[in-house]
Amino acid sequence: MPIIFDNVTYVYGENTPFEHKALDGLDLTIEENMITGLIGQTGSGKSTIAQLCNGLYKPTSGKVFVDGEDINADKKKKKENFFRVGLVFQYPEYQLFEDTVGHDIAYGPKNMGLDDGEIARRVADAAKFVGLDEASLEKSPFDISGGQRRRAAIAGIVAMEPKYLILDEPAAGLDPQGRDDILTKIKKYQREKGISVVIISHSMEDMAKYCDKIIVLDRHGVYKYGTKAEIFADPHALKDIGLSVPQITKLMYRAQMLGVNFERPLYTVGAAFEDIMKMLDGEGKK
Amino acid sequence: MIRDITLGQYFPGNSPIHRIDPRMKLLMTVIFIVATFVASSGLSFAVLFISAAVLFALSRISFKTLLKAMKPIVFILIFTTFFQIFFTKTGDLIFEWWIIKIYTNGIIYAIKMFIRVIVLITTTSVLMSYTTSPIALTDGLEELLKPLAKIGVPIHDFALVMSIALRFIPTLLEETEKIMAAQKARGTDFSTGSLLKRARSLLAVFVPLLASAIRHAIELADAMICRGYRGGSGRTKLNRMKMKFSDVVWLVASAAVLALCIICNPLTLDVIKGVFIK
Repeated sequence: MPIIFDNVTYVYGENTPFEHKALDGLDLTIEENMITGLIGQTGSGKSTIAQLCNGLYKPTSGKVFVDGEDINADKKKKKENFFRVGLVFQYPEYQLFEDTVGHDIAYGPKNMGLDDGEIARRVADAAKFVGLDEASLEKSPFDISGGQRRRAAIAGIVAMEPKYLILDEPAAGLDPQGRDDILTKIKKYQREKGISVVIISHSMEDMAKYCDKIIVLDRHGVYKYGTKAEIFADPHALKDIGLSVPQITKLMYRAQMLGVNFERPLYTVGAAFEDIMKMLDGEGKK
Repeated sequence: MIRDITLGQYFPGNSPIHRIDPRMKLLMTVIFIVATFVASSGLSFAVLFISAAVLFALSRISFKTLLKAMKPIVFILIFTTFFQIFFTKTGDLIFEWWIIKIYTNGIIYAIKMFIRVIVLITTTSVLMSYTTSPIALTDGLEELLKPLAKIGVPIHDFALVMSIALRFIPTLLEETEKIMAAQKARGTDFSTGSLLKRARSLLAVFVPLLASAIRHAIELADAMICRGYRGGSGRTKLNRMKMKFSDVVWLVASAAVLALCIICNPLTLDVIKGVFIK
C-alpha cells in the first residue's frame, strides 16, 4: 500500500516569532514497490516530509496514511510505525553511539523486542547488504572511516527490516565512488525485497540513475510527479524553480538543436555512452 | 519539545528594552538581583514587582514566552511556598486543622518569596536573555570587566569562552533534537520504562552529542587559527558601544529601586539608628 499525504500542513515553531510554514496543504502519494525520488530546493520541505512519514512530526493539519491507516490516530501505535517506516536521517553517522558497530546495528531490532537469534540474523544480513565485513562489526564506530560509519548507520535502519525505507540524502558528502556504491546497494536491496524506498536528494544525476518515479517539490508543494521522461521533458520549467535536468540530458537537448537525434531520451551517462558508440559504429559502416 | 526551553534565547526586536546599552543591562540585572534579596518591606516588594512588570511590558515579549521561562522553576516555587506556609511558626495563628497550623507570617513570607522569584526570573530573562543578543551580552561584559585586564586577568579569553558557549547553546540544542529524533526513529523510548532503562536511552543521545561537541570545538579552533586569531591584544571592534542619555536614565531608575529597597529594609534602619544614637 502507498503512503498518502492528505492536505497536510506543517508549521514549525507555531506561536513563536520563529513561526515558519514548511508545508501548506500538501497532497502526495508515494507508490509501493519502487524507488521514489524526492527532489526540490533547500527549504521545499523534503526533510519535513520524511519525518511526517514515520510520525516523528505530527501534521499541524491534515492526515498521513501508511498502509491505509492514519498514523497519528492511535498514540500507542507510534512506535510500531517507526519500525514500519524506517528513516535514515541526513548524516546518520553522527547518531552511532554503541561500543561496537555490531551493537549499534542491533540497537533498532533490540528496541523492537526481537529474540537474540533473530537480532543476530538481521545484523548479519544488514551488515552484508551495506558491505561491512565481520571484523568491522567488532570495531568502535568512532574508529572506522566516515564512509564506513555512513554504511553502519544505514545498516542500523535496514536491520529493522522496514516495509518502507526513507533515506534523506544518503550519499551526501561521500566521494563519487562511495555515492554510486551506496545508491546501487539501495537499489539492489529494493529490487530483492520489493519494499518501497524514498530517496531524498539534490542530485538530478542520482535521481535519473536510481529512481523509478520522481516527485519534484517547489515552495508551494508538489510541482510535478512522474517518470524520468515526464520530469525531464521540460528543462526550462525545471530551471524556473531552481532545478535542472541531468547534465547528460542537457547535452542531448543541445545535440538535438544541432541536428543530432538519439533513438531514446538520455538520462544517464551509461545509456548515452552506449547510444553514442552505436551511432559512431553506424557512421563507420557507411 | 526541546525548543520549549526558552531560557537563554534571544528574541530579536526593537523595543525600548532591546535598545538599552548591554553594559547598562548587565549592571541593571545585577542591581535587580541585589534588590530582590535586600527587599523586605511590603513597599519595596510592590515597587520591585511594578518595575519588573514595566520592563516586561516595554520589552514586547509575549506573556506566553515569559511563562515558558517560569516553567522549569514552577516546582521550586511551589515547594518553597509550601514550606514557608506550613513551617513558619511565628505571627498570629489563623488556621488550624489536624496537625496543620498556618500563621500570618507564613503567608507573608510565602508571598514575599513568590514575588522575589518571579521578579528575579522576569528581570533577568527580560533584560538579558530575551532582549540582548549573546554577542552584545559578552561584548558588554568584556567592556565592563576591562579594568581587571590591567591586573593581569585574561578578560578577553573569558569573554570569548562565554560567547562561544552561548553561541553554541542553540546549535547543541538543535543537534540534541536531531539525535533524539534519529534515535526515536530506531525505537528509543525516552518517556517510559524504569529509571535504568531511561538512563540507557539517554546514553544514546549523550554519546553522539559529546562526540559532536568535541568535533565542533576542534573545527572551530582550527578555523580561528586559520583566520589569524591570536587572543585579545591589539584587537579592535567593528561595533563600538556608545552610551546614550536614556541608558543613564535607566541605570539611575534601577539604582533608585535598589536604594528604596535598602532604605526600607529594617536592618538598614537598625544600622542608621545605631550610627546616630552613638
